[in-house]
Amino acid sequence: MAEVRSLGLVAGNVLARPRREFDRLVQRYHKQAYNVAYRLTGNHADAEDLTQEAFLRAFRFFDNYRRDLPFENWLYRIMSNLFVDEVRRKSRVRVQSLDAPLGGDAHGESRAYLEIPDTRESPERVVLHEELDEQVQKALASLPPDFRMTVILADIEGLSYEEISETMRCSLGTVRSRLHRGRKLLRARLAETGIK
Amino acid sequence: MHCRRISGLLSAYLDAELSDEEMGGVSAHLDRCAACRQELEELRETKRLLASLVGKTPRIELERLLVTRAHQAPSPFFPAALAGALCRIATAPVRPKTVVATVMLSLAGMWLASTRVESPTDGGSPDLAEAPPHLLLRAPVSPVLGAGFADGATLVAAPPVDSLPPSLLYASASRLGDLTGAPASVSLANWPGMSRSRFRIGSRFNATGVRSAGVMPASWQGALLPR
Repeated sequence: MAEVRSLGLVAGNVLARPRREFDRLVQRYHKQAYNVAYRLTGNHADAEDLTQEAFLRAFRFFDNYRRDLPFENWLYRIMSNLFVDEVRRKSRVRVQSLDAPLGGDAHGESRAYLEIPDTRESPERVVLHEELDEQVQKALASLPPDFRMTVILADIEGLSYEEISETMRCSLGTVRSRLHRGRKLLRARLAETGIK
Repeated sequence: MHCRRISGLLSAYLDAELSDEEMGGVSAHLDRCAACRQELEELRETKRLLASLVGKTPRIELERLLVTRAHQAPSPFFPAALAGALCRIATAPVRPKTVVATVMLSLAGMWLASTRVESPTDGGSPDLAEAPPHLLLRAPVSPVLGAGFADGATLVAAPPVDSLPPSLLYASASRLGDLTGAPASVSLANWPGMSRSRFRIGSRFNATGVRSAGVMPASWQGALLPR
């Protein structure tokens, strides 16, 4: 069935959505979502992209949100799917540079992104934390995407197995297995780099 | 129970996600088995390490960007009349992937000038007030973003082309990318007197999606695409 939609109509649909509610959800959850996106992608530029795409999609399909799971879990599901698809897509795209120089390094990491330092800590501890963080992040990045997401949801976001099972739409047994194997793989990777 | 069986349950034991019976069984085994106790400790350490990571925080502007982007259509720099005139999205009856959407953008210059778009070039940003009134862009939509827009959205424009800087094209493509949520490409095909050349411009958020699928001609001649 052919349908013709004008942008105006799409805009009308957008207008009709519960904007205020959505804006409140953005306010409440965007930092949390960003953290998950960072742990998934490993850098700020991609984390921001992924966060934006996930919220955009959540907004577009807000009507479909049945509220049978908490908003942030629904958002994580979207994010996880987007991430997996992006990983698949990226493996096919070859990147060449155009004539214009682009801001940031080869991976698109912009210098504008700043880490907010934890000012309660001594500088030495901050550096130690950062190094450790980097090692853990690298180890996380070595996990297959679904293991990675499971570990992030369980150990960084603190979701129960049941919540993870709902979010990722898999059985409890799968959650258990992915988490267990994910943690072990992570530990093995960290051991390789000398972290205890 | 045997170590092999227990080992697979240790994470769930650590997380107290086993049935009471299973918890009891694992507990009893752990009393007798140093190897499994050791493994449990290693898991506990890993979990603790992950939980201790400092949360990564986004830049301040992200919240505003998220909200703005979601509510983009009735934005102040997208006049309703223009929106109405602009976009026809036709979906083919059979396969969504064969769809081409066409958007007429008659006020590209003004529109771009009013948009805060990051140019990839440092300094020397194009004078958007003199931007050509039309620009041809094509943006395939990533399937993961769903059917919000059909498979290809094309901004059609005809510039007085001699001085189209890459950064302006980037800006235009970025804007199209913003609208459709996908990397946008610039196509110079179909223009009379023009050899086929096409290059793509990546997402407005990061530059890693940039790729070149052809050679940019030294000078361009443009014309209004027949509609």
